[in-house]
Amino acid sequence: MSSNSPNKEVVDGEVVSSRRARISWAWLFPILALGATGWLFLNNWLSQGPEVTIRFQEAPGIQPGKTDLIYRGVQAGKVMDAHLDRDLGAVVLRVRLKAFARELAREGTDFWIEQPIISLREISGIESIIQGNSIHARIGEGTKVQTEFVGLGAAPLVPLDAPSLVVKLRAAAVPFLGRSTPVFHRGVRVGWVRDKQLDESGDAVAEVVIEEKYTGVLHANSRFWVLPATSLSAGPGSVSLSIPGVEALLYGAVAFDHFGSPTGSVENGQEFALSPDEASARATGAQFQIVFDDAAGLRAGMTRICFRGKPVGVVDSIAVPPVGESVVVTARLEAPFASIATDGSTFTIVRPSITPEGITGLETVVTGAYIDFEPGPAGSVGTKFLGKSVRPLDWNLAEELPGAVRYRLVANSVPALQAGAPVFFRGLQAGHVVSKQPGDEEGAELWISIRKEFQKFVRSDSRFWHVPAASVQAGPGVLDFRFEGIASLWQGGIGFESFGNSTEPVASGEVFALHASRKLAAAVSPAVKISFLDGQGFLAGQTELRYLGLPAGVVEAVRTFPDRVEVTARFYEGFDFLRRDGSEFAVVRPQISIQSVSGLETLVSGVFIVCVPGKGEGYASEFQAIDTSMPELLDQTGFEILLLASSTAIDAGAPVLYNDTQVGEVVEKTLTQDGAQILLRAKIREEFRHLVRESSVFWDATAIDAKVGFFKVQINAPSVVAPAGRVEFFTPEMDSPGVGAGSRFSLLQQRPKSFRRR
Amino acid sequence: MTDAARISWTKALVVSGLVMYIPANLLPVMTITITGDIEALTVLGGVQELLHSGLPLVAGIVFLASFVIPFLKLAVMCWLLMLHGSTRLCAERAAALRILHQIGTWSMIDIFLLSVLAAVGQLGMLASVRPEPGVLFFAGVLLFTLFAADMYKPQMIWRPVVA
Repeated sequence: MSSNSPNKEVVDGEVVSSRRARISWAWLFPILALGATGWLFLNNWLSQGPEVTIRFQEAPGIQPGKTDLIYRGVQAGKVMDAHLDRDLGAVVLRVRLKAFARELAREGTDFWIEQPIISLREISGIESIIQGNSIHARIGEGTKVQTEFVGLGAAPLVPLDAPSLVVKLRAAAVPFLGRSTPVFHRGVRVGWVRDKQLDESGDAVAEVVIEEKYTGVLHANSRFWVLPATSLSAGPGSVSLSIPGVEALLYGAVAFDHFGSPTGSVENGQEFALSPDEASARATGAQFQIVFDDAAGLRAGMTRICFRGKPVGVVDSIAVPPVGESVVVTARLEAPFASIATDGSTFTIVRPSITPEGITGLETVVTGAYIDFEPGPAGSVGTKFLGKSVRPLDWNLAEELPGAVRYRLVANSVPALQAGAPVFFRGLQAGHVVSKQPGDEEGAELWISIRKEFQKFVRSDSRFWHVPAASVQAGPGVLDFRFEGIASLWQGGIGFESFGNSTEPVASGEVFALHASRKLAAAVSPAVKISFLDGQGFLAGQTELRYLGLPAGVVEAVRTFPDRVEVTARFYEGFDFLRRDGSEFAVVRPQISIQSVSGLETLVSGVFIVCVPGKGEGYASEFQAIDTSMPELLDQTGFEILLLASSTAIDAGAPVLYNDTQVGEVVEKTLTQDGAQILLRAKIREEFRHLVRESSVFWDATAIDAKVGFFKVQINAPSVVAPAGRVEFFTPEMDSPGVGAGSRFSLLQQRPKSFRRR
Repeated sequence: MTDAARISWTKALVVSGLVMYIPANLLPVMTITITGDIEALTVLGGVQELLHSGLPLVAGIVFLASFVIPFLKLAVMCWLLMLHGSTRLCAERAAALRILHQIGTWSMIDIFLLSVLAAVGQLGMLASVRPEPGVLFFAGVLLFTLFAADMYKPQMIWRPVVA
């Protein structure tokens, strides 16, 4: 403007402004604004893909203009409009796809409304709790463009790519299975159940999806089975509770495995059978039939067939024909065992059995009955077998070791001994009873089996006896209660031992006598017969013969005659001298009297017979028992003297004193042959024998030695306790000649005056 | 700068403002996310939202300040430019320009508020406010109007046009 003024002054004419024609720089701004706006709208238009319409049964939470279409977590479109179709049967959504999601508009694409699912089996769509429901898409396989879709009712289990392997499981019932039930292969989750439904035949069919990376583990020979939610299994030695996993805890699971080598490949849609449990799945062998009399305890699908204790098969079904008296069990075995189920195989139902003879099948109390399978001889595989319901009592026979040798035992009776009862040798189990049967003659016969390592102890002079379940043994000062282990507690057993020195081995099948007790078995001497006037308390096989207080033999038999009792006894090894001529026997019974208490141990052990060896050279076989009030004194050893008295109160058991020291004992009180005098038999201990000499004087010292003195009454009573009286003697001349055994002395009524007490 | 140049600049700026006014109102100016509910709001959408929320007064103010007044400013500028060189209604035009200048002082309040809101309203997952491209256009409209009003001097109303 300032430059115009001078020009006006100089040149007054028309001024043509050269700048008028020029466009101002300012117009760049509108162009830029237009450009930016145009670019924006163009960009917006370019990012828009095709519009698709999706029909849903219902569209909860869908808001036009807001709800997004999500594909792989990315917003791939937006719901532009939602309206019901003409007959109000469906919701029609118009979704504007983004340009990059153009490919979604093609055949096979699945659309579904994602909403939160929270159940015990699955939790999905959590994000829609916060963000509201959205439409999700899974691209299809097709190639043709499509803009009209029908949406899915629920989210598919595989949100993205379609699964590569789907197989069908067919079973009579699939109670546990449901959507998303896991499928395990050897403990690894490899898939899930997609769907379950009933097919045309009424069977339940579950569709199982195997994840793509695990499709290789499914083979044509794979077997599927239901893993229960929890299972409790009991076997010998353990009870185990198994839970496949937390996710399977509530609804169980499906497992599969190809037992053995895998064969064949699996196509999509292939059908498999679904077994109710693993054992059933394992039993791949051909079905066969077993006919039983009785099927108590058997359960279809549950009962196992065991081979040597290991389950190798399962019972499929149990059919009871309306006619006939049998039950037909259809079963299968595992493949390796199916080939040994040849004709002649035995099938035995094992049930629990508890008897005093033994306990068998105890595990079946928990596991239920099972069928024991014993393969038959080689041959063709059988299809129908005759089963046994009762198992023979041979439960110990299976334990018979190689090299065991059998012997035969003969006895009058074998109380409570059954097959399986143990045979002991010095407390060790050397074998067992194999069988029991009636003998050739009267009596019974037992077969026993002795293990190899104990065979050398069975000799020609071995003696066998019955070991009672429990025994009480009482002797002088001994009370012994014993039983031979828990196995014998039920039924006892058999013991054996060699009492002689024979080393002669014995061949298998040798016959031995079975003695009723060890005492009888040990009494090996020839029998002697002893007559008693009174047989009270005698017990064959129990009553003992004792020498010096220790067992020397046993009464084998007791026979009663009109006037006496005859006892047949045998002596243990080494006690043969008791059979010599002149041996004396007397019975000891408990005695409680004012004079004495004796034979107290016989209260427990019963009466016993005390023996005194005779002096004779030869052996006798028959003896007469002597009757004495103090029979236990009979076998007192020592130097014997006889005392004669016209009358005396001294009885057997009275001590013989020398200088107030007991040196012997009166053992017997009898009469002389003519009955005129009393004869006391006394025994002086050997070490005091020299005190008895020809000059010895014996007197009755029972009377209390009382002396009335000037100031005092002196009672000389060394021992008040002498109920049987006392005998004293004194030898004034120690150099007088000695006397032999059996010498007679006369018993003075009182101490001679000449022997003053010092 | 000559009057003619100023007129030219003013015209260009007003045209730019008008051009920008269209996307400024079509595009969302901000996105409010409240507990996962994502809402992209245009200016009019925001007004509608406020009206639905039971705030008609606030809705009215926002409607006036963000929609009517920018448009009125552009319209007034157009009126001024159309009557440029004429001798009619000079006093009224000068008054209108004066009012434009005074309003212009407050014209960026919307943008200012939005920037404060976007800065403060970040509550993580629960709520967030995010400006959208529309706000740039909106700011453009305001700026162009502002500069256009400043470029057109009041004395140019009275001065005869040098032909």
